[in-house]
Amino acid sequence: MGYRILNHTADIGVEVHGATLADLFSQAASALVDLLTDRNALTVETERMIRVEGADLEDLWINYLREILYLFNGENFLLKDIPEITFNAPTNIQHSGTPNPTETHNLSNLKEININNARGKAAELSLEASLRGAFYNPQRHTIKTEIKAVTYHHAEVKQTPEGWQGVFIVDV
Amino acid sequence: MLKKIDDCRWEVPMTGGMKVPGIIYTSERLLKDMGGDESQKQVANVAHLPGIVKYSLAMPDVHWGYGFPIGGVAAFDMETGIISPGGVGYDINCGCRLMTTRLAYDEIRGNIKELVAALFQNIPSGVGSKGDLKLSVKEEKKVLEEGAGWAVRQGFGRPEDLETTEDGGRMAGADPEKVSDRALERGREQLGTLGSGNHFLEIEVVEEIFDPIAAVAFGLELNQVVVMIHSGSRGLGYQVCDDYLARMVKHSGELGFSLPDRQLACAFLKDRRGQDYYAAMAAAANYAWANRQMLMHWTRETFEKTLRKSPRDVGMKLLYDVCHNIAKIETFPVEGKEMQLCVHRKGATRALPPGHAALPPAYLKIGQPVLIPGNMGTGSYVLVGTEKAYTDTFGSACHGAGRVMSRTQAMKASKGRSIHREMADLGVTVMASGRGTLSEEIPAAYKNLDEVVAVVHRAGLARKVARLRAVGCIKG
Repeated sequence: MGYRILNHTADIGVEVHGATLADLFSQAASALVDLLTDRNALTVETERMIRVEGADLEDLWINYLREILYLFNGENFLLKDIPEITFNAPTNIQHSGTPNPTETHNLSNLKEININNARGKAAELSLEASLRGAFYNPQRHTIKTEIKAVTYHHAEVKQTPEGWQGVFIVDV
Repeated sequence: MLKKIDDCRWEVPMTGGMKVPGIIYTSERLLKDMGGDESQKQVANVAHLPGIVKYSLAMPDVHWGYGFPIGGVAAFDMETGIISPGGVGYDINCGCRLMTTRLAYDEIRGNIKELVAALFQNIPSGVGSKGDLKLSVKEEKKVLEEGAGWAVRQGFGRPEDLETTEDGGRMAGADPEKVSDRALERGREQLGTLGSGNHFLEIEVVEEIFDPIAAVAFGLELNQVVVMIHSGSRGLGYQVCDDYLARMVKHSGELGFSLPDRQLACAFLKDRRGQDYYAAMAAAANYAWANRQMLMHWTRETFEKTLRKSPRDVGMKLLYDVCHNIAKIETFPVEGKEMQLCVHRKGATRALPPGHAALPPAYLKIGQPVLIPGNMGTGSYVLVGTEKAYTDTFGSACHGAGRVMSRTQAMKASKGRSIHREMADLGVTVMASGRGTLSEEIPAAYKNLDEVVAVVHRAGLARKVARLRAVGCIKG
């Protein structure tokens, strides 16, 4: 699955598709870094682990992308590979699909989730991602666009017949 | 859904949970550019927020932002109202400063290329550009407290520069302790840098004067060389906005009302979260003023060195520095009474009338200079604040041309063209750090600045004083 750029007057919108929730989040990270730089020019020289929380899926989605952007803006780290992601959710999240005890703590392969149950309570969801990439080197890497921030505007994570779809808008 | 009030104003009528109506300052022509744009809906969304006073406003350069529209103005009651990081924007105290010189264009016409190259060399620009100095955290906190005054104390400029800077280049209520470590870290190496995107430094020539009396008061004359700087608080400001937005989104359930868009996340002005944001935002605003002060200082030095002229002969003087992304505690008339309000201007310029106490002595009789930067190649405007803006728009006017094309549309439209050559044909020497910057910033990507300014002038929010034509430009 992949992503496409949406037209927005002042900013850049991205619509991302993934077969699973984890795939969606992985694709989104690479889409964000593709806006910043040519990932082909990067080599893997370091690894980062991040842990992000969110009150619900949309909050988690934006907080996760904010963190990846910060790694560049604050620490000069650029993601090369599509990251591996592990989701964690408290046991009180109800599955609308077939319940599977091993999945209640790990949403990585989740096909369906009752999003409404996860809304409104602080830090209900979290994820861990391992990110492999390089430090920005102006001699070797080009920055295509300065991204000021990943915004909450029109942020969206939803299920589609094909899998998952997410939208985020960055301020450039 | 829009209702025409007169030739300059359209009303967004109150529907659903709107607490006040919206008013968009525009014209039939500019309205067409808004077609399919979400800005009208955003004006309505802002009208849902608690404590909003009179109306949710949009200036003629309005365009689709995130949360608040860009070109939006909204004022909130100090007791019942909110403050919103999204109503200020990521680039806190993004703004403009305009410097006059004693140089006539004819004198330096042959030096423009050399000047642009030297400015490009001496002024760090581009994505994540770093300056020459890396501040200690202790020193950086002084910048956040003292603003442009810190820069002057370090030798970047003269004390009189502060007199013609909005708020004297220092916003009261700043608290560096409310700024996160991440924001401080990002700010340490970026002080004294222009940035990228629509930020620029432009050499311009006064090509038309509309109001000779105000022009004299501002020190402007025909054929004079002036310099416009457009920059803000760099990564430090973006991070402050990002930090507080996330915090407010997280606690939005405690507000007692539901947000039409998460990007409108806010906190009550009376609550600690609201006050913490205000203190951090003010600190970022001070950083931006120090930043523009340093950029001006290097511009002065570059002009003097390149033209081999004394500071006196170049005579670079700060006409005014004004911010267009900010929330400020100001007093305006509401239902016949003066009322203290928190005025959000996101892509809108403060425009104070003659006699206002916040004006520097030199402009007390004439009103505040309102600086409206254009886009590459079209030049800029200087206007002057009026009583009408004071009563009708919380002392606000437009801030620029406003985009009509998305960046990707602009990139497509400029494919295969030499924007450098086109700019040169228009008489503008341009140098840019980023490969894509020129293509994204082509003049056609923006609304017609003359039309935007004409609406502001006709509506009486600010009066046209002079039009400036660009001759040289550096971009990030």
